Amino acid sequence: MRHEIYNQKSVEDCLADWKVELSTDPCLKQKVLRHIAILESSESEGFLGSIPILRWIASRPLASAALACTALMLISVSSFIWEEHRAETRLYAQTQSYFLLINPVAHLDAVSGTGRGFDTEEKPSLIGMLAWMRSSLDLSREQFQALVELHSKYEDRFVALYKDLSEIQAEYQVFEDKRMRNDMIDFMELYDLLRERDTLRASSEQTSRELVSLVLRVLTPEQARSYLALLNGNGSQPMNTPKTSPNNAGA
Amino acid sequence: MVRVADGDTDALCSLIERWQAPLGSFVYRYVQNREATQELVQETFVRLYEARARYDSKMRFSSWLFKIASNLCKNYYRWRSRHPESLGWDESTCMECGASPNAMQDDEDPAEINSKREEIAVLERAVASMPHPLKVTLLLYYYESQSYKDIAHTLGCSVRGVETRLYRARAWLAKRLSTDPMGSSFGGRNLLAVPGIQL
Repeated sequence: MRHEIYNQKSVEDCLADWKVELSTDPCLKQKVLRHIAILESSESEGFLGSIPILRWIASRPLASAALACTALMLISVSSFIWEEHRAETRLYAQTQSYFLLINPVAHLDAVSGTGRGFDTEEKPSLIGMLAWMRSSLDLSREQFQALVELHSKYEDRFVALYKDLSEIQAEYQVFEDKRMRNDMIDFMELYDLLRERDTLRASSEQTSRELVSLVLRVLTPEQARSYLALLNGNGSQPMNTPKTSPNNAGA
Repeated sequence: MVRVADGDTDALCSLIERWQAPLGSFVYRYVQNREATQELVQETFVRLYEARARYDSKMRFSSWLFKIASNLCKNYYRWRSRHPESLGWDESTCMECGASPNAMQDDEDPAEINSKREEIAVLERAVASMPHPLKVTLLLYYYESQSYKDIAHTLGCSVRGVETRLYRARAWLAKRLSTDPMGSSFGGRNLLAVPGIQL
């Protein structure tokens, strides 16, 4: 019997039979208003609520997303710029260190003139300094090995020259202090000192030139240009270090 | 709604009074749980007030309201499917709470009343298993008497899309009603009599 009744039905009839009786909630208005009041008070107390523009942005998902994207982009750009700046600073420091290591005269002038130089403990090895050159000049494996060999040969000579130059500088300083205390000047001693110093300086500069010219032979023309640009970028010319002639001494 | 957009809570109270019942029956048919219905109706009005600044006056208010409600129902349904233990939902719940075959009169045969209840329980299960867009289309069209255009606004689709969804919703129901073990008595053959539906 029941089957027969249902068999007469269509989907529409079935749907029409589905009645719903729900008692309305008499407190709904109060509940909604209370809920809204809680939300608004928490909003006004909150950080976003205190700044109208932020509240406006927070209520718009698209604006929030755009703001977040902009903030991300700014952070990325600033970190990129900061990284570039750091890399430039690092490169400058490395080239300056390298320049001082291969030029004892400039190193001594830097120490005596500005007090800047290497502390004995911090002094980097010349071979260790070549790592930056490898990446900066994009050296091949063969070029790098040749440069390591080349710098190894000269490293001890530069150390010895710097030591001699420091000693003669110290002797000259002692002579100057003595001269300031006495009216008498021993010109022969001064002449010997300055001649010895200039000989050492000339020898040091010649050694530096030798190394630089040998390095340039290993490099391609493009790399050589970059290498010289890096050296000259230090504000001093390794080939033209200051020189005091005996004629100007004591003037 | 324009007054509500200006923050007028009295206007909101008027809207609640006007729309509480239709919204309640829509939500109940969707979630088929009395407590959840009360919560969702309340939440709908709160969301309505919160989103008042974004209300587009070109859109019909009912479309806007049912759009919020249907989204909340969808979220609730998703949440419930992930937390099946949190709320009991079965045939008896439906039979006890909201569904009421009130078309039946006191003088009707108790056996007939019982069979109608069974029939509605089968229908509820079929609607519950329906995908969200089909369910919303079906409920708004048959029970809230909304036009294709209003339903299209609610669902964010075209009028043609609403027609397609309604057709698919009927087909879904016809298939489910005819294959449900409890509802085999609906007789798939006669359900196919609905114009345009082929299984």
